[in-house]
Amino acid sequence: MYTYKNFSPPLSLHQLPCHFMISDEMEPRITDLQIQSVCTNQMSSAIYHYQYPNDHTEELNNENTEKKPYNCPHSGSKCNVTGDIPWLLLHLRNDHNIEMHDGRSFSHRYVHHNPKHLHHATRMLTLLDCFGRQFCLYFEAFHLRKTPMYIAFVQFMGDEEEAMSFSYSLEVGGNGRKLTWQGVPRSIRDSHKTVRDSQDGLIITRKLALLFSSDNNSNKELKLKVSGRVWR
Amino acid sequence: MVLMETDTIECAIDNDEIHLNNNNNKFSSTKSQGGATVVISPATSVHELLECPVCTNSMYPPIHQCHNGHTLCSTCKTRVNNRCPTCRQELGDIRCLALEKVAESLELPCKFYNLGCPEIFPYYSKLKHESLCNFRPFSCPYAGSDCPVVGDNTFLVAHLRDDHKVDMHTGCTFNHRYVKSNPREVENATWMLTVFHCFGQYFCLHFEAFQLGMAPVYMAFLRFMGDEEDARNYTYSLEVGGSGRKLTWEGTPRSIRDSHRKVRDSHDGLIIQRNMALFFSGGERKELKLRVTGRIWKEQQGPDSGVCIPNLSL
Repeated sequence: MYTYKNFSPPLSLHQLPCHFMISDEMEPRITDLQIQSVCTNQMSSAIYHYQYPNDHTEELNNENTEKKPYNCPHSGSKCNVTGDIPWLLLHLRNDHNIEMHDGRSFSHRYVHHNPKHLHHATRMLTLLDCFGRQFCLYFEAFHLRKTPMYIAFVQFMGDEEEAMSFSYSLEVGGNGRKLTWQGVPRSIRDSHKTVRDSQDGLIITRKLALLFSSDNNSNKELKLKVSGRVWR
Repeated sequence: MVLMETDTIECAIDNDEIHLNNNNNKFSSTKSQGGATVVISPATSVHELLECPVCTNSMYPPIHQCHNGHTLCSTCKTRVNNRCPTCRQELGDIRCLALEKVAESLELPCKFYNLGCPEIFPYYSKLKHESLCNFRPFSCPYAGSDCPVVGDNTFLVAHLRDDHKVDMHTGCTFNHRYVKSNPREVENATWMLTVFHCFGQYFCLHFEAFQLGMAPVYMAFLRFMGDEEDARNYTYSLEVGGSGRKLTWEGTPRSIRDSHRKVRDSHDGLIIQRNMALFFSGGERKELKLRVTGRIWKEQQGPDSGVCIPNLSL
C-alpha cells in the first residue's frame, strides 16, 4: 500500500535518522475509512509456543527448517518474495528501500502531524544489524477493536530456536512518563500480523502516545521517541 | 485477602505488613490550621440578603420578588406554585434587578477562609473560585460510586479504612497479586483500591478492569492524596511480567483532585490488554493471577526526563 521512501520533509521538523511521516497526499479521505479487526485466536498458539521450548512440533524439525526459505518480512505490500536471509536483506534494501542500522541500540522519533487522520494501519520497518545477525524493528499504527493504538516490536531474521537466545527492550516516554517493554524477539517464521495481533510488543493507546508527546507541544501532534536495544 | 465491592477481584498481599497508623495528627496539612476572624460588616448583611429564604443558597440572576418585596431564587420560583413562600401572596414575574446590581459591587471572602484561603472575590466570581480553590477540602478518592464525603487527608484516610474497608499499607514498595478465577466474566468495570502511607503522605493505588473501546484491559495507576503541585515531588513505577517478557511503567502520581475516572480515561498508567495479562498469569491462561510490583520514591520528573536515549550507533 504505502512505500516509505526518504522524501524530504518540511524544514520545520527535526530530522533524525529514522522518522516516519504521512504527508498530505497520503492521507486517506474519510470514504476510505478502514478499520482492521483483530483476531485473538492466533495469539494463543503463538505465544504458548514459547512457554514450552522443548515441545517443538514437527515444523521445527531442524533438517527441514534449514532448507525452508523465509517469507519477506516487509509488512506493507503483500510481498511474496521468499529466500534465505542474505537474499532477503538485499531484497529489502533494493526493492523495499528499507534502511539498515548497525549496532545493538537505537533511538527513533516518529512524527505525525495529524494522528487522528490515521485511519489505515500504517507501518514502518527498520533493520538492525548486531551480533552478526539481523533483526526487524516494526512500528505500527493500527486499530484494536476501534481503539487507535501504536505497537513496536522486534523480530529475528532466523529461526525460533535462535531467536530465543536474544532479548530486546523498547522504551517510549515523555512528559514525565516512561513505558518500557522487555521481550523475546519472535522469529520471522511468524508473520508480522501474527505478532502484532498477539500484542507481543510495546503497545500503547493513541491517547497515551499524545500524552507522551505533549511536552512543548500545543498542537495535537504525535512525536514519539522510541529507543531500545538488543542483547543476548 | 481483600474483597472489593462486587467480589470479583481478590488481592493477595505477599510481603507488605499492614499497619494502621494511629498518629494521624502530624499529617494534617497546615492549610487547615489557618483561621480567619469573622468580621461583621455591611458586606455580610448584604450577603445575607442574597440568601434565598427557601433553600438558603446564594441567589444569582435572575432574582425574583413578590408584590411585597420578598425575594426568591429562580430555582425555588418554579417550585412554589406561584405563591410567595414568605407571605403566601400571589407571585408575579417581578425581577429584583436592584439587588442583582448591588451584588455586583459586593466583595466577599472565599467560603474556605476557615481552611486558610486568604482571598476575596466579587460576588459573581466567588463560586467559580471556590470550585478550584486550593484550600477546599478533598473529595473521597474511593473509585466506586461517587462518594460525596469531603474532608482533609487525615479524615479521608480514616473514612476509606472504616467506611469503605480499604486496605492500608505502610511503606513505599508493593507486591500485589490480583486473582480472578473467571476473567472473561468481567463485563462492567471492576476495581481495587489500596492506600499506601510513605514519606509522610498517602497514595492511592488503583487496579481496574474495564473495556477500552471494545477490548478488555487492566489498568493500574497511582494517585496522590494532596494537590498536583505536591504530587510532582514523587515518582512511581509499576511492573508486570512473566515468560521472558516484562512491562514497566514509570510516571508521576496524579492528584486526587483529578477524579478516578478522569485518570483512568486519560490512560495515564500501566495498561495491559487482557490477553497479555492472562499470558503473564502463566498456567493455562484461564485464570488471572497477575503479579504487579512497584514502588514510590521522591523525585521530580522534568518534562524531558521520560526517556533515556542510549548512544546512537553509526
